[in-house]
Amino acid sequence: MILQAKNITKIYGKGQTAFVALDRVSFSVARGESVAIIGKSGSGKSTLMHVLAALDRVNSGTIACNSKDYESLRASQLDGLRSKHFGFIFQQFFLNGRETVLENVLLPLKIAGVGYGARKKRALAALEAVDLTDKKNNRATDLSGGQKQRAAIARALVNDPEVIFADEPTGNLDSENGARVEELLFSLNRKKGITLIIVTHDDDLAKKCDRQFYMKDGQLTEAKKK
Amino acid sequence: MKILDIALTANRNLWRSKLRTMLTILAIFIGGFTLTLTTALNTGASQYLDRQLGNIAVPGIFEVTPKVDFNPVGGDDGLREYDPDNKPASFDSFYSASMTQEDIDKVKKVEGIESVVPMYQVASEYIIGTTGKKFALNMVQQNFGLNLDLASGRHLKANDTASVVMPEGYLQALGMDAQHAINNKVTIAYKDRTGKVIERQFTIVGVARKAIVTTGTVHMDVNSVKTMAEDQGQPERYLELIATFKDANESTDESALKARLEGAGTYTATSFKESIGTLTTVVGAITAALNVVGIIALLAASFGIINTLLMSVYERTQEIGLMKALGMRRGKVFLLFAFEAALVGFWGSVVAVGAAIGASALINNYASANFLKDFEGFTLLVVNPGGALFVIGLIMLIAFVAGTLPAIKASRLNPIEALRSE
Repeated sequence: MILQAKNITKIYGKGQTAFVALDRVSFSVARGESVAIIGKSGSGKSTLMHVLAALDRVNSGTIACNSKDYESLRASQLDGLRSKHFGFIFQQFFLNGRETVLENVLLPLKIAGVGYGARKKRALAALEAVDLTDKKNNRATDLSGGQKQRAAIARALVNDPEVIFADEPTGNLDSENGARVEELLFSLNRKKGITLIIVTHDDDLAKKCDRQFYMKDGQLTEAKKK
Repeated sequence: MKILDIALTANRNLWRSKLRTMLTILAIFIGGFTLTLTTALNTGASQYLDRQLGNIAVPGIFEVTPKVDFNPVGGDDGLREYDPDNKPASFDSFYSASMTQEDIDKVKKVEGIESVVPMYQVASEYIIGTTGKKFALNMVQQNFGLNLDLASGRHLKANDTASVVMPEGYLQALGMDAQHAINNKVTIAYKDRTGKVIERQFTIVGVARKAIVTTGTVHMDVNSVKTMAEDQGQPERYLELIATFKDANESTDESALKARLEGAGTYTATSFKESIGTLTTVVGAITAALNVVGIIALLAASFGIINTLLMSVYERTQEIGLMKALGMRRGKVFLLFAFEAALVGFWGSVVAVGAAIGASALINNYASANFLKDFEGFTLLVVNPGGALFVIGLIMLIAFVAGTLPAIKASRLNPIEALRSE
């Protein structure tokens, strides 16, 4: 199991206004799997992704990546985990519009402290993989929505992650571009063995994953195998 | 993230909002410019004073004066009992000349003393050179404790008689020049106690260059001055004594000698080095006051930095959130913004120092042609590399400190909330 969560609970706020976002959720993902977490907004699916990705701490329960318990790791070690082992894709892309596509893609490597030559080489390879080589020197703001998300995918895979977390990766895209992004993600999953965790409310996208989980009122249930 | 990458990224971020950055830098520039100029003024004045006075005070020579009580007698307190060793200060300088032969003997007994001579009060009438023409001359100075900057010849010695060191500026009128004045004779005239004019001949042993403290003074050997004072009827009471210690040099601890002199009686002893030190301190105090103006400008500017960076943190919340999500450590986020602040300081101070160097050149040019015309070798503003680096360093430090508040704010952003913000 690459990711394992046991009995995790996440509560926002205190006292009367407390809101249980995750209610004793247990969840595990094997290496190389593609997993969809499906739910309506407010169901807690994004919170689940955040705690799995070590972006947020849980109130109780344990989460481990490669058998390393998050609770036992220092903040800087969790930063290292995200920097070296995880990749992120967001619905809103979060590209820096003023900078070139290449600069956006090599940001994770810059953060990880990779030297100038190596990071440029790896970023170009990632751009090649998403077929954006010809746009490398364009400003990110000049790209179309589909191109932006492909640039974001390049950024997510540039550090050779074990897991890519994708939060509504096709949510802001038309069906044609959405399909292309999906195709890219699943080919990364198949060819490179990158574990995919996709948070979505799109059932069609979810069905393409190996396993589907439904999130409702902070509780997680796995869909029956068809 | 590597430090170099942080610095480069900080510099690039800085120029995203050019106008805002320029205005912040302008504020820093004003403070930096002021500070550089005041520092330059201090350096210029100190260098000049050092050149003029630095070597002029011979170590180990003290002025010894009676310790006087500056509390006035009379008034509300009424009369007080007479004490010969603790007299109130007199407003009549002639009467307050209270050092006598007895004091000379006392000071002579101080350990390590080479010589003690009184400071004579003498006046002169005129001087005649090789042209035979009389020129008015109202003062001659007894030679003591000053290392005159000589253009030619030698210093006066304790056993010289009928010898003078002439200021360079007088020679032409007297029919001589600096190279050929040595061993020439001049006649100096003065009135004795009955009003009769006495002329005496002196040999020029040295020629002194122009300097602020000695300009226009004819220095005379102590023996001749003594004769003159006796002719003029100076009572055997003196305002001060000049005490010279044996074997004193630059590294001698003068405070110990001073204590010894003051212990010999109720005296105040001041070394020449000390007197000149006071002057340097005054210059230092004036420029320090000016520096305060520069520092205040910088403090005001640092609030500009805080403001600019807080706006920048607010605008870049999402970007900071992304970087943190991608694994950028808190400390590095802090550094990214603190560096940005330090860079504002860097650019502001570098431009300020550059402008100050240019302004100094212009001001110096103007000053030496106008109000500093008579002060040869006085460069008003001197920007030295050390001072410039100090100013740049200081401003970068102030800016860095100002940047810590926004930087802490940025480093504490929660990546999830930052990414959620629109």
